[in-house]
Amino acid sequence: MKKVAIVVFGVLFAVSAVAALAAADKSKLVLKAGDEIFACNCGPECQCQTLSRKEGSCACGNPLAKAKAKSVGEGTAVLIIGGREQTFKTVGKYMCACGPECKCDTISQMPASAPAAWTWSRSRSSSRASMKRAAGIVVSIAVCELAGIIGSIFTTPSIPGWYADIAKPSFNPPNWIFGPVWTLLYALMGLAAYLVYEKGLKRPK
Amino acid sequence: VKKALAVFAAQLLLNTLWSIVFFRAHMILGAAVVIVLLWALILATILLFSRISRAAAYLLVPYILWVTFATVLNISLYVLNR
Repeated sequence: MKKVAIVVFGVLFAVSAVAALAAADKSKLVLKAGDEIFACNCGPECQCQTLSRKEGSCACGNPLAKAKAKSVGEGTAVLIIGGREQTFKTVGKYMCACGPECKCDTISQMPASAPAAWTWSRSRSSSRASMKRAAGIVVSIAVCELAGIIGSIFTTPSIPGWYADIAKPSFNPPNWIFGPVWTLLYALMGLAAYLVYEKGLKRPK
Repeated sequence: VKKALAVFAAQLLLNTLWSIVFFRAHMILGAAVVIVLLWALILATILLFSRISRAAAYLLVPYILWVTFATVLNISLYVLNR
């Protein structure tokens, strides 16, 4: 019973750490040929190369124009914008700082000089940022699991005695189910709390 | 965000408190009161979280469903062992 809980706990740690690592690399825009996208139409000479899923303005201050992806390569994409073909980088030096769940996918090769519709952050060296994120998630989950572990100190001694003797309803689940269920629920709680905490770091109020 | 995390912390404390009231103090009725309060605080947490992060709110849905079930279980244990 205890072994089961430890195994579940370990698996959840691993899963959440991997998920955090996968989610952290957000300064990349995943495009398919034929996709409609908003891109900066400031010309091939212009260095800003802003790409976004949403309307708004480029990092250089010009408005974003509708574009269509013609072909997509490794780290670059050829877009048709204003009737002309232009090659854009799909890995941004700068990215929209609206958070990991934001779907705007805005990237640029230039920091915003004009007041753009979004706030920008420099794409962090993604492995370090994701390590930090994974550590944050692990700590957050551990705090929640701790609440469960403290609770279980009071629970465990009562199960064979008092709890076994009281009358139970017909739908009472088997005792072994509570451990894994609570382990999972505390892990989800930890992850949820971390997501909220992370949003708080990005827009301090 | 601070308020949301404060309510979250409160429900986590209440969660641990339930174990103490039910299993340590053997107070089934007292535990039922705690679990109803806990349920309300989880709902409040979900509502506050949903304004900040949708994913975070969804992650708590299994939790409130389980606590709903646990509340029913707790109250029926009280009725059966009065």
